Amino acid sequence: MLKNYIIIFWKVLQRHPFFTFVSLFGISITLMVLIVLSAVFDSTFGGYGPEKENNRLLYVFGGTFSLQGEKNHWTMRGSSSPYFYDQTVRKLKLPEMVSVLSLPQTVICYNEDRKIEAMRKYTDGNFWKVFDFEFLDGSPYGESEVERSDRVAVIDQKTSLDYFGTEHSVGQTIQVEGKVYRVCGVVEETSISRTFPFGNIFVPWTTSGQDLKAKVCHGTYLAVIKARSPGDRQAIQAEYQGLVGRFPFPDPYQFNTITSYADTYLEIFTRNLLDQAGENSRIGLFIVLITILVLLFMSFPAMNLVNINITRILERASEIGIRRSYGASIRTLLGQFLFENILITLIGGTIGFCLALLAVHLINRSAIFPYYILEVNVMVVLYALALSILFGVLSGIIPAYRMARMNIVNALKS
Amino acid sequence: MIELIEIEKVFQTKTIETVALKDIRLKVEKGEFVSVMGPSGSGKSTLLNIMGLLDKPSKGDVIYDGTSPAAFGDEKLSSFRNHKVGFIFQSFHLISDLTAYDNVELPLLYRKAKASERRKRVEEALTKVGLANRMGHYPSQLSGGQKQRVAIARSIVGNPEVILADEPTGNLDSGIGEEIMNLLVHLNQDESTTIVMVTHDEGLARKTHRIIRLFDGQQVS
Repeated sequence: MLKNYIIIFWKVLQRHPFFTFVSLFGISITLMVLIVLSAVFDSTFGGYGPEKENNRLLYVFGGTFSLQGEKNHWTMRGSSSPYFYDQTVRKLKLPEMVSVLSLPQTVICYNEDRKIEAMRKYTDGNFWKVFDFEFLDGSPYGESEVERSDRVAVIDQKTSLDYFGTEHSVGQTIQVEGKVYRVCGVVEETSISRTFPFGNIFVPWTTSGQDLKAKVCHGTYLAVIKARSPGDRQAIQAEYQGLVGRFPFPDPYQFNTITSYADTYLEIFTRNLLDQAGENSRIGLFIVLITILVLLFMSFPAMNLVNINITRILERASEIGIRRSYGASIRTLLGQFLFENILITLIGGTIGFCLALLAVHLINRSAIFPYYILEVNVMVVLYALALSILFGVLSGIIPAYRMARMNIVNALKS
Repeated sequence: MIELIEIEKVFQTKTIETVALKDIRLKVEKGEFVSVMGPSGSGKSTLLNIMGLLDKPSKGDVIYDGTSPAAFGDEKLSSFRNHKVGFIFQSFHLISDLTAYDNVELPLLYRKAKASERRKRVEEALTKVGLANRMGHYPSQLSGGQKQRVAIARSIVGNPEVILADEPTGNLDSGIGEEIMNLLVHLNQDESTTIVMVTHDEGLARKTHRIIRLFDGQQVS
């Protein structure tokens, strides 16, 4: 039976090459966009790179400090100080470990006559245990080097190649804003979409020259919490809220209220997007909104394909009549048309997938998005396959159902 | 084996009601070759469509060997039609994108027959109609007579209980028409295939066992 369907499918495609082109073009472009967006989503939120175990990680992006008084009200939002994390994150009992790290900062490195721009990140020793960086050369610095304020650095592959011309640069020195660091490790590049592990040069935070014990609320630091198991995250979030509620404000006339959350990446995103404070980060709502947007986006080419399919199927009314006369039920015909439609969307999906690979390659090479790395991995391929099939069903079901139910006698006469 | 009981068919549009068939009662026994004659618009094709379960009567019932398929759902009706009825149409109605072999194989695909069984039956059917050497040809590569032979092969490949032929020689010249009629007579006489044939040709009708005449939707003989 499938051979019969495939023969007919191929012949129908050849009958109207322009319609076929329009169908394949619409499908492939739609799916290309959806695959690239899936790659962006996966690159941003998926278990990937140094965050392979992101189902055990929670992130603290500082907090919102406010002064709520009779005469004065103000709010400051953003990253926090080491003092804040000492009073909150570092006092958590449930996690396996925690790490405090700085926001990445642009620095200039000079190598003789070469000027290289890079993103430097200050970290503690636990940073390398919380994340799973792939070391191409050497090894990370630990807590002892941090305590001694050793001028050691882990650099990424790109920086190593730009600065030294090789990715095997362990033992060599790199000058970062007037300070000389000895390279102890070289890691794979991380995409800038991964705010927490992203950086080109990683150095102990004790080499920053800042007073890390200063009792202030704001600073340029973030924190990452690694749970013992994914199921522990909710309990850790509750424990964190308890500590935030008991935070000892260094100057209650400056700030006396704080909201801060230990969130997954997606929760951080949805909280910012939906401006949502409180326990509920509204992930469910976000997923519903995204699903609606995706379905809406797919519906336009789907409607176009529906129209083309109706025209094509009208031409085949006689064939429908013959098949029905010889025992094809409505359900069988429906299956045939859906099969044909899914086949064309899989072909379009394959073309779209190839276009997406090209688009991802161009984005990765593009100067418009520096440090941004997209990857099309197995999950994205599966998303693409699922989307193709969904697309095929969506655009095929209405015309297929209409035509399968056509009166047999009228179909034979047409 | 096929009985039509007080069949009536009315076609209703918004403004007009057309009585295509009125009070049709007839029986077709196993092995009979019956022709249906009448002027244009007398209801011949409508009768055949109802008999072949392609259309439902407005009143009355069609009984096949004591079974009334009136209450069957679509799945059961389609399967019933697949096993009981073979059709031959005036315009051949072959699927142009399929070869002669694939066209003849069609009823067996809906029966989910095994590939080896299908191959055997299709080859037998095409051999019976004298087209064993045209299996790989497309309808566009066949003459009118050959197309109708392929249609006949398709109608008999599933060993149906009855073949319904709607003006099978209508689009063929007299010589080829004669050949097709001889083929149908041969199937009836040698294979005991029950055939109901609509025709305008008195000469062809006289070769059948019985002639049913319709006029204005009613049976006159």
